[in-house]
Amino acid sequence: MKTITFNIQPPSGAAFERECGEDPVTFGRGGGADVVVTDGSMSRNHARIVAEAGGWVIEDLGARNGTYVNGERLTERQPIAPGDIIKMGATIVQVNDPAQEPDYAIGGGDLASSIFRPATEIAEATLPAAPSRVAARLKALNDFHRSLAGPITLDELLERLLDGLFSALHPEQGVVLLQQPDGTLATAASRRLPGAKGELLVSRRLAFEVVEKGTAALVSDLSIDERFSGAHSMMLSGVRSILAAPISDPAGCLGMVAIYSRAHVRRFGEEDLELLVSLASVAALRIRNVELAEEAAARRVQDRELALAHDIQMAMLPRRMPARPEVEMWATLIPARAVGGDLYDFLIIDDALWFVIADAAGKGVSAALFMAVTRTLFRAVARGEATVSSVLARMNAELAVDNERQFFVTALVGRLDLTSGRLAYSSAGHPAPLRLSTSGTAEPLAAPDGGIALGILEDAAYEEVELQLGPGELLLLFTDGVTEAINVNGELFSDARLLGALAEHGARPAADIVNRVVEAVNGFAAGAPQEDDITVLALRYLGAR
Amino acid sequence: MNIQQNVLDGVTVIAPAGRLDTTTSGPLEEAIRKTVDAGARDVVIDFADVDYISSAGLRVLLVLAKRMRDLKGRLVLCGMPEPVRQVFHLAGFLPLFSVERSRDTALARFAAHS
Repeated sequence: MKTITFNIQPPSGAAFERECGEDPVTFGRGGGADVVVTDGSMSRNHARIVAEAGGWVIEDLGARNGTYVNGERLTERQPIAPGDIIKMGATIVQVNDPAQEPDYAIGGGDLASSIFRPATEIAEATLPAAPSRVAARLKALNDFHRSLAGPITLDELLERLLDGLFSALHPEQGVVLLQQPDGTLATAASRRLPGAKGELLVSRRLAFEVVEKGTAALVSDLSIDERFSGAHSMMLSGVRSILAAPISDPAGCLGMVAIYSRAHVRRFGEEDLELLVSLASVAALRIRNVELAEEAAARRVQDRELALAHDIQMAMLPRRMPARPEVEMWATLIPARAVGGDLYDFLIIDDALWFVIADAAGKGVSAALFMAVTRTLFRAVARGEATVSSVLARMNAELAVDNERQFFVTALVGRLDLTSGRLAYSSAGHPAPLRLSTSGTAEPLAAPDGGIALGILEDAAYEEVELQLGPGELLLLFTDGVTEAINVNGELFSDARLLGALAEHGARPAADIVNRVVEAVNGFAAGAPQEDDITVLALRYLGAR
Repeated sequence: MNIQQNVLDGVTVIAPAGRLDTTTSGPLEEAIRKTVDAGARDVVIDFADVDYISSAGLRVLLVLAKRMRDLKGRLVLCGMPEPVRQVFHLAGFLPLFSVERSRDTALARFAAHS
């Protein structure tokens, strides 16, 4: 029978080798063991390797902290094979492959062999290397450069990075982690050779060293590196040779790339690290470009959709004002975003002008959808109801059904009798209109009490106010985007400023009055962002014709 | 948006501060949802430090009121500055809520009924 050799790495002190032939070999910290290791977390007699007909098996001898083979706790005797990693307490025992010369050291006889170094330094370093290997590395870099030519998606780019790494560095596994908008790292691409064992894990510690500190890492044996003493995720899945490099450009770190190989299959060296750093920095420049391009493309799609939604919504507003000689009307609606929740509309039914101004809660798409429903309801309901209050009640009942999210809309519905100038209006939580006389005075009209905004109380009822408009008198309707516009000091435009803006202007054309209000609001806001949709509607009764 | 939260004699008091508009109502809605999910059934919202409330802010309160009705919980609003009270009033929402002048009177209401 042949022999099998082990490399034993205690938690502190130098590693050593032992051989096992036909006689069993016991591992432990006690004097009775064949292999005595200075490791407080090992039992006196921890585990035993025994030769059997087909090879060697390992038995746990009831060790307090157990024995692990390739990360699995031993529950019964189990054959061992070259390449297996056995963990006893804090000690790592590696089963050597007789066919392969053990290669623990990088550059010297010492087993301690991890290197952390600023990636920039490595990129600039010129490590001594055989000319043929320099050529091979240059070719790998060049090939990678060329593979990135032309338009490319982020996924394609990462696949090509892995292609380059696998063909130049021959790892068993590779992973690319990219920083997410929330600051966490997530796997963006990964690959493993068929048959490669173990979970592909990157310890937090390694990620921190590489991404936060911008260091490149060559870790040849995790078990002996204090920096990774807490990195059980890696240790339990076996000792590996690891290369890791940040993916960074002058603007910052985008993530990291790491490649792994089980230590007995392949150990990476400093030249490999140099190449990895170079490939990663080439990738970084392209990733930044691709991300910017993809972001811009996504934004363009979104902008197009919003522009379309804006057009659709604007098309819901009346295209022209009522073609009746008894009235002069003008209105404007300025959404705070591409789409908004404000609405105005009118219908002429027989000799009556029915009109509505409304403001759906919130802004943006949800408000816009609610606004569209409100308009449809107004048009449907106004034709069938006799009074403004019953129109609101019907609209409310419809909107309140199954309104789990409690969206609501404030609305004011009015009916102007074109032959008499009789006006009736009813408000569902909407600001009261103003009346502008021909002499130039502006006064708020009474708001009927208790009118609750539409959509909240299913059986709500509404009161209405009736009054007589004289020829030339003007009704000004608005949404709270006007009175609640804010300036840079956070002050509200307010009812008082609205009245002030209208004083002495009651006799001007309706369009002038609307424009004057908008200009006064804009002048007041003085560049402060518009918080809410702004709608202003002016309706003047010119008298019976 | 700064949102203070205390539990006083088993009553959860949530006190937002500043403007309650489209931007800030999201965090408030989330804070309230978490609190109610965690089992709070007696809730006071104290508006003493709220400068302004928009329709988006009102909606957060309506959702809370609806949820508390469904859960047989109790909700009291208090400390409303006049401009805030006006917004509730104009939208016609005041009758939907129990409203008290101050945090003390709001808490006393729970003490009297429990």
